[in-house]
Order: sequence, then structure tokens, then C-alpha cells
Amino acid sequence: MAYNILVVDDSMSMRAIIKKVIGMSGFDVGEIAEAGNGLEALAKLEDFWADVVLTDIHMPEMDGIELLKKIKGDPLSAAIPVVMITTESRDEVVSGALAMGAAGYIKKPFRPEDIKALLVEILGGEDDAAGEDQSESDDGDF
Amino acid sequence: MLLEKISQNLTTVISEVLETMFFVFLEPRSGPLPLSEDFIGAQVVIKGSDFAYELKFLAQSRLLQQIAADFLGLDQETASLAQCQDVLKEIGNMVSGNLVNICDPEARLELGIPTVSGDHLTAASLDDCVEKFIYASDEGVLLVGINSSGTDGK
Repeated sequence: MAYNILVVDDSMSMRAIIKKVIGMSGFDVGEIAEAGNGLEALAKLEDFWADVVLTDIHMPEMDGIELLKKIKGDPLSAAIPVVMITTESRDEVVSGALAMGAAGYIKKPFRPEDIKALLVEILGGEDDAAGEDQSESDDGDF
Repeated sequence: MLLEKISQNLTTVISEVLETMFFVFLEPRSGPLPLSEDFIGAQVVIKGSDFAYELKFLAQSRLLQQIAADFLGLDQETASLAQCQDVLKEIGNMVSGNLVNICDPEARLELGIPTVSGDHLTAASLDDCVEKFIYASDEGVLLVGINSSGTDGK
């Protein structure tokens, strides 16, 4: 099964690097869509079925927490796992996001294997990813 | 004081962010600010209840071109100004965010969205800063300045 992934970050550099890391992860990836903030992400989700959403928190227009609320508040999208990828690691903010239904949390700066491990946990495919681990000589090579 | 905490932790956080995410190793330097006129700038505001700190980041363009090229998988010559500015904003975002995590575990501070302050800047852009820090590698220099307003009651 190929997984569709929506990457939400106001930094084009971060979107590019997250897409690259996902590509290296060994998952059967379908389409990877991008959005620059929460509002763009919601518009994208109207015609793009995402199996997982990876989102920053601090963004203009609509931040990642508000995006999480909107996704979880809509019966059509509530089942989509949402992962927060952010500099924010203060307990109050992280536990708040998890309580609102976030499927996981990755702190910036991250290593490629951090994203891979969380995708394995959420989407499965551990065997494929493990095989990829053994075949990659340099995980840190972006 | 929050300013002291930020200053004490800045070097550690910069090392963590740049080494983990960007594979760049910068060493802290002392002495006068460099006279270069090719700095690219970005800034992030950290707001408290009655005070604010502005963290200003100035990086020499050749250092940013190298970082952007490595980060995005480009040739150094093909990293555009927009890509360099975007990478500097993300460096500022990660450094400021991780500083806030260390200095404000109670989540009382609000972290702003990073903004670009321009290019072809000089170190004079940090003249209004109460603290200034220099970090250098063979590829160039990163300057960080801290500007404060209001009363930090911590």
C-alpha cells in the first residue's frame, strides 16, 4: 500500500528536507503534498487524501495546533494521524497537542531516523523500513 | 534574568541545531565584529508579559550558500538568495525555539515567527543589541545579537 503524506511547514527548506527524509525511509510512498500553513493544509485536504499529516506548530495564518483541532474536529478527517514536527518541546504544549489527538511529536532539530521511527509506529511497514536500515550506509546523508 | 539564561545556553543550542540538522560546526569567537558587507539577516522575537527579546541572526552569504546547498542537495553556486534566507530563518526558528524550551519550561513565553531582515547587511545591524556573539567556521561567520525591550521580571 502506498501512503500519501501531507507536509505542512512555512519553511520551504524544511518541507524539502522532510520530503527527502520520507523518500529515504523505505516506505511505499504515494504522493507527498505540501502546504505552507494550516489554512493551505485544510484547502489541500479537500482534494487530497492524506494517510498522515506532518505539521510544524509555529506558522503564520494558521498554526499547527489550530490545524490539529480542525482536522480532529471534522468527522471526514478525524482519523488522519497528525504528527507535530516542531522546535516546541515544552511539556504544556506537547502534552496539549497529544491530548488533542496528535499521533506523535518530533522535535527539531531531528535526525532522519526520528521521522522514520515514528512513521513505522504510525503506519506500520517495520519490516520494509528495517531492511532499508540495513541497506543504507549513511542515514545522515541528506 | 532571562537574558542571562539565553546567553548562557546560546552556544550549546547553536551547536546542537547546526551540527544535528545542518552538519555545520561553528566555533565561538571573541573580538571585534567582522567588517564584511555580505551578511544576510533574520530575526525572531520572544515575548513575555511585559518584555520582549529580539534575537538577530546575521550570516555571511557564502556560509549560508554552503549550508543551503548541503541541506537542499544543491550545488553551492545554485543556492538562491531566497533559499539562503529561508535556511537562515529556520536556523533562527530552531535556535530560538530550543532556547525557549530550556529557559522557559513553564511555557510563559511566546515564540514569534522568524522574519528576514535583508541582505548585503553589515555587523552594524547589531549596534542596538545588548549582547553579541560570534561563531565562525572556514566557510564564514554567524553573528547573533540580542535586543531587549521592557522589563524582564524573571
